[in-house]
Amino acid sequence: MSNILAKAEPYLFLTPAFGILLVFLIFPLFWNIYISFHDVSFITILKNWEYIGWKNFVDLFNDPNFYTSLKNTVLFVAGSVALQFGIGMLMAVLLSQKVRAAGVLRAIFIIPWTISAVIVAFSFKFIFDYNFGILNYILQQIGLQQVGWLADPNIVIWSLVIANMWYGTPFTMLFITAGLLSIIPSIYEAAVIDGATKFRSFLHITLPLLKPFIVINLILITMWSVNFFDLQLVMTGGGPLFASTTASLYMYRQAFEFGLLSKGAAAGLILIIINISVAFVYLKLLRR
Amino acid sequence: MNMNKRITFTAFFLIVSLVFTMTSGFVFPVSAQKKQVTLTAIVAEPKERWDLLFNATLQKLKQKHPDLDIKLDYRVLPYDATRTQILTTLAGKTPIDLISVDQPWLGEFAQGGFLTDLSNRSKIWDRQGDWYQTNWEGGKYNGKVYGIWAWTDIRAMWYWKDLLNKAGVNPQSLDTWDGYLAGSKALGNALKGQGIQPMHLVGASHSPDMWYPYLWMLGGEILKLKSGHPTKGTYWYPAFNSTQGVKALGFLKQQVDAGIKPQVNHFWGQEFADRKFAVMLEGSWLLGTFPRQQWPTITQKVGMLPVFPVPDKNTKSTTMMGGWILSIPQTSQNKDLAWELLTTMVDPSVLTPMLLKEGYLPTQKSIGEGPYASELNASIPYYKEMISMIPTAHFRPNIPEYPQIADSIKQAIDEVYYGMKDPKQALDEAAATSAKALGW
Amino acid sequence: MQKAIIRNNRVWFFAERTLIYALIAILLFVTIAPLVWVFSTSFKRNEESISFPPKFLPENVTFDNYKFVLTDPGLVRSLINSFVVSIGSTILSVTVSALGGYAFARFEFKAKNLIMSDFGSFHDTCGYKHNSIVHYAIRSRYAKFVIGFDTNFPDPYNTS
Repeated sequence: MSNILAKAEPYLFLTPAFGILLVFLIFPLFWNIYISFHDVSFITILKNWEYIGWKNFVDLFNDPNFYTSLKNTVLFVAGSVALQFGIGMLMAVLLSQKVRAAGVLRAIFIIPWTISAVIVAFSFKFIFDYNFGILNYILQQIGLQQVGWLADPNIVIWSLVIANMWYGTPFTMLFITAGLLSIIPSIYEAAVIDGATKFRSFLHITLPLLKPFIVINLILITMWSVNFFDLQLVMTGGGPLFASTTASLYMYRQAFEFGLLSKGAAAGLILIIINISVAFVYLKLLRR
Repeated sequence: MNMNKRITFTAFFLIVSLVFTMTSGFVFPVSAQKKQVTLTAIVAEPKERWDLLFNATLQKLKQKHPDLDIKLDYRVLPYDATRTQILTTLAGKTPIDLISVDQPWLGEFAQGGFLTDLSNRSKIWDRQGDWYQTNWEGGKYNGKVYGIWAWTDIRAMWYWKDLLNKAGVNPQSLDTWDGYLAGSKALGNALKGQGIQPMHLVGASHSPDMWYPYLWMLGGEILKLKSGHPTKGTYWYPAFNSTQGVKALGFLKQQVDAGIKPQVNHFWGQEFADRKFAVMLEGSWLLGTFPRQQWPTITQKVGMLPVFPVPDKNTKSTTMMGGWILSIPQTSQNKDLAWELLTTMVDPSVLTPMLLKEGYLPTQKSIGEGPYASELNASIPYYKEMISMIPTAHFRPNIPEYPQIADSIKQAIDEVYYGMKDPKQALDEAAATSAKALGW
Repeated sequence: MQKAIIRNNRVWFFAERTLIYALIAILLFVTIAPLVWVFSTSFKRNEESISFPPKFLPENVTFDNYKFVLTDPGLVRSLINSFVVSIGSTILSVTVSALGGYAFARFEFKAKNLIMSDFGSFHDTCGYKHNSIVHYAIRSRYAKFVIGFDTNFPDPYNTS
C-alpha cells in the first residue's frame, strides 16, 4: 500500500497545478476551437450556434486588414522586444556596477511596469497628441517640425513601440538582474587575473551564463507583446487606416466591436499558433 | 512515507484544495437578496447627467414604494466601453435592469435577444403621442418597441465671433461649401502663429457621423432595401457609394486639400471651448463644456449656425440626430420596477431639470413646445435654433450590422483624408465590404 | 612604468564611472518624465489639461481631481476588489506552484523527463551542485514555467 502511495506522491503534488491548467488553459483552448468552427456572434450567442466549418478562417484570410494587422504585429513585436531587451539589459548591467543607491534606482526603474496598461496608454495618448501633446510642444520650441505621432500612419506603430518599451522594459531589467545575481563573482576575479578587460569578460562570461535567462526572457516578452492590445486600443483604436492595428487588436475588435465572436476566436487561434512557433524557435536557439 | 511526511503532505493538499474551492466561490454563498431591491444599470459618460436623473428618479420611486428599500447601482463608462461592456455582460446572462442604448445599436441588441419587448407596457403607459414621430420610431425595431428615446442632440456649426471678425469673415458665408472653404483660408491667414486652427474636421472613430449630413442633404441614403438577398429575401444594401455619396466625400477631400487637418483625437467640444478652433461642427452638447454661469452671455462670444454647409443655395441643409435610448435588458429580474424607473426618468418633471442643466434637446413635445419649453428657451442658448433642426434631421440605421458598415465607411473617409484613394474608389470598396457584412 | 599604469587606470576609472552615471541619468529621465507630466496634469483644471501651449506647472493648482476620485464610492469598492483579487490569486498560485516545484525538485518520476526535457541543456549550462538551495529555487521556478504559471513574474499585460 505504502509503495503505491510513494510512487503516486509526486503526481499528487502536481495535481493542483495540472487541475488549474486543465480548467483555465486546456478547456478554454478547446472551447475556442469549437467556437471558431461555428457561427457565434452577439446576435446568435443566446440562440443556436450553427456549424459552418472553415468559413471563419476563410473570412479571416480573405480580409486584407488581417494581413495588415499581421504586418503591424511583426513591426510592433520586433521593435518592442529589441528595445525592451536592449534597454533592460543595459539597465540591469549598469545597476550591477557598484552604483550608489542601486536599490533605489532599481525601484524607480520598476515603476512603469507597476502602472496599469490602460493608464500608460492614456498618458502617452496625451503626450503624443498632435495639438496638445508635450512632445510636439518641445519639438516646436527647439524649432523642429511637429510630428504626427498618432496621426501619421507611417509613424504610429513606432509611437506604440515607444510606449510599450517604456512600459515593459522593467521586466527585462528585473529578470536579467536576477540572472546577474546568480553568477558567482569569483569567476570575474579569475578572468581579471587572466588579463580580461571588463568588456571581454562581459561578452565571454556574463552573456553565456545569462543565456538561459535571456532566452526565457525573450520568450516571455515576445509572447506578451504579441498578445498585448490595451495600448493600441486606448491610444489609437487601431487607426489611422489600421496602421496601428496589431493582430491582437484585430482579434479584439472583430470579437467585441463587431460582435463576430467566432471570427475573433479564429484569429485568436492563429495568434496561439504564432506564439507557440515563436517559443519553439527560441527554445531551439537555447539548445545550440 | 513516514508519519511526518504524510502529515505534511495531507496538510498541504488540504490547504490547496481549500484555497481552490474558496476561489471557486463554493464556500461563500451568493449574496442573498433581502427586502432590499438593487437596480443595476450600465450607462454612458458623461456622469453628471445620470447623477441628476437617477437621484431625482430614485426619490420618486422610494415615495411610491415605502415598503421596499430601493438602491440604484449604476456604472458610467466611456462610449466605446459602454457598448462592449453591455454586450458582454448581457451575453453572460448577468441581470441588469437598465441600459443606455445609442440609437444605432438598437437593432443589434434587439436582434441578439438582449432587450425586453416593451410594446405592451408602452401601450398601457400610453404616452406615445407625446413623442416626436421620428424619435418614437427610433426606439422600435421590426415593429416592436425596444427602447424609449429619452433625449436627443443635433450637430451644428459653432464659431467664435471675435475670431471671425478679426479675419473679416462673415459668419453667414460659411453656410455654403465654397464659403466654408474660403472662410477657412481667411481664418488661417489671420490666425497664423496663435495656435488656433481655423476649422475642425473630425478624424476620430465617429467621422462617418459628421459625413452623413452631406450625403443626406444631396438626397443620398446610407442604406436602402433591396430584394434578392440570399437568406432574407429583402434586406438592406449599401447605397452610400452613389453619386451623391461621392460628391459628399469630395467635400471632405476639398477640406483636406485646403489645409484643414483631420483631428484623430476628439474632446467633444472641449477643444472649441478652449479656443483651439475658430469654427467647429459639433453636437449641441458643446454648450455643456461651458460653465453654466456663462450661458446667459455666451451668445455674445459664441455664434451658432443651425446648418451643415450646403453645396449651393438651393440645397436644404440637414443634420444628424443622436441622443440616448433607455432600454430594459432581458436579463433584468425586476422588469416592472425597471419600467417604473424608466418611465419616471423620462417624465417631463424629472427630465426637464436635467435637460436644462446639460443643454440636451427633448424628444417629447410637451418639453419641446409645451409648458416646459419656455424654461428651456429662456436658459439654453440657441434653443429655438437647435429645436428647428429636429424636423429635418436624420438618424443612423439601427440594424445589427451597422458597426461593421460604419467601420468600412470610416476606412473610406480615412483613405480620402490621407490621399490614398479618390472618393469613388474608397466608397465603392467600402460598399463591397458592407455588402458582404450584410450577407449579400 | 608603474606610474603610467596607475594614471591610466585612474583616467579609465573616472571615464567609466562618468559613462555609467550619464547613462543612468538618461534612463532615469526617460522613465520619470511621463510620470512627472501625468502627476502635474493631475493638479490641473480641465481646461488647462489640454491647453496650448502645454504648461508644465499648472497655473491654478487644484485638488478637485483628487477630490472627485477619492469621494467616489465606486472607487473604494474597486480598490477592495483589487486587493482581494491580487492577494488571493498570489496565495493560490504560489501554493500550487510550490507544490509542483517541490515535486520536480525532490522526486524522480517518469513524466519528469518528458516535461523537463527542454530544460536539460539549461541544467547543463547551469553547473550548480545538486543540493544548493539556489538550484532548487531555479529548478522549481522553471518547473512553474513549464506548467504555465508566471507566479514570480505575473503577466503585466493582463487585461483587467
